[in-house]
Amino acid sequence: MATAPRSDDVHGRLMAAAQRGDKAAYRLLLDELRSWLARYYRRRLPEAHVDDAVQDALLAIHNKRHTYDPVRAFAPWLAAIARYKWIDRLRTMTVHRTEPLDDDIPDYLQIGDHGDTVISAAVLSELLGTLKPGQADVIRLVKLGGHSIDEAALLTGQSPALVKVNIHRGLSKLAALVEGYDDVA
Amino acid sequence: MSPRGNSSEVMIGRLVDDLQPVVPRRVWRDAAILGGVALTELGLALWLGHQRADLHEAMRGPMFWWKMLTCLGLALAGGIAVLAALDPETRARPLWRGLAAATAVALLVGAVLAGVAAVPAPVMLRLDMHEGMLCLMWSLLMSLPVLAAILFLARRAAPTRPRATATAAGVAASGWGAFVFAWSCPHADPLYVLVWFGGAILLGAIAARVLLTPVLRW
Repeated sequence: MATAPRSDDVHGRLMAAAQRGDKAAYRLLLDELRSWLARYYRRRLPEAHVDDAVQDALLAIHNKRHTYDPVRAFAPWLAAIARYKWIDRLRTMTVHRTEPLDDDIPDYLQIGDHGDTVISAAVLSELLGTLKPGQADVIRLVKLGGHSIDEAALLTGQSPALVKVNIHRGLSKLAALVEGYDDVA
Repeated sequence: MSPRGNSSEVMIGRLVDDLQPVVPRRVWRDAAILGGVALTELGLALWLGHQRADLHEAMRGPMFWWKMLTCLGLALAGGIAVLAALDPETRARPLWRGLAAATAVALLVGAVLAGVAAVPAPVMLRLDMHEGMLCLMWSLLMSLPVLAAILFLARRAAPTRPRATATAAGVAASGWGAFVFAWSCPHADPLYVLVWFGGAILLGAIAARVLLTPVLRW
C-alpha cells in the first residue's frame, strides 16, 4: 500500500522522496540535517568531536534510510539516530585519547562558537557530576583537557593504571547512563 | 568554510551520488520472516518424529501445557520485543517491562502448579542431571535457526538499544528452542522444567547479550 508523510513534515517528505531515489530532495535534506546535527552535537560533545560525530550521523542516516517509515514523523527518527551516534561517540572516547591542540595555532583560531562551548561544558559537567569524583576528575583531565595519562596520575594522585581504569569505567557508565535516558532533541 | 565543513560537503556529495531507491522497512515483513523460520523449524522437527511417544496422554495434564505455554509465551514476548527493538525509535524501558512481566507470569504459574503437583522424591532424582543437561543442550541448539533469523533482520534494521535487543533476541530464540524441544521431552516435574528449561532460556539470554551486543552495533 502506498503511504505518504504528513504534509507539514517537510523533512519527512524529503526523506520519503529520497527513499524513492530523488537526489535533489536528498541533497536538500542532508544539507539541512548537517546544520541541525552540528547544533545537536555541540551541546553534547567537546568541540573536537563535533564534526566527526556529524559525519558519522550523516553516514548512518544514509545507510539506515530504509528504516524511516514515511507515515511517521521524521523528527523522532532523526533524534533516535543522532542520539545513538552520540552514545557511540562517547564509547569511542573510551578508546581514543583526545589529542591536545597544537600550541603553535593562534588562540583566535582555536576558539569556536563560544555560546555552544558554554552549553556543551554545562551538559558535560552535569553528566560528569553523576560519576565518582575519581572518575570524573581523570575524564576531565585526559579526555577534555588533553592531558596525558601520566600527567593526570600526577595531578590526581592516582596510579597510571588506575587512571586508565577510571576513564574506562567512567565513560562506560556515562554511555550506559545516556543510553538509559529517553532523550529528546 | 573550514576544512571539516568542506569534508562534510564532500561527504554529502558522495552520499547523494550513491543514492539508490530503497523499500522502507515494514515490521509485518520482519515478523513474517521470523515467524516463517520458527514455524518451519517446528514443522521439520515434528515431521522428523521429534516428539514424545506418549504425547496424547501427556496433553491431558496441566503440567504439559504449562511447560509448553511458558516456553511459547517467553518466545513470543522476546520476539515482539525484538521486532520492536529493531525500530530505531523504540525505547528500552517498555521492552524490559514486557519481558519481565512475561517471565513473572511464567514463574508464578509454575510456582502454583509446583505446589499443586508436589512430587515426593529426592531433589537430585527429580532433576535427573543427565537428561537435564541434554534438555538444556538441545534447547540451545534448537534456538540457533531463530537466532540466525533475528541476526539477519537486525543487521538490516537500526536497533538503537543493542543490549536490550540482544537480550530479547536471546529470550526469543532460546524460548522457541525450548518450545520445539519440549514436544519430545517426557519430563513434567515443575522443578525439572524450571531448572533445565528455565536454565536454557536464561543461558540463551545471557549468551546473546554478551555475544550479540557488539554485532548489533552499527
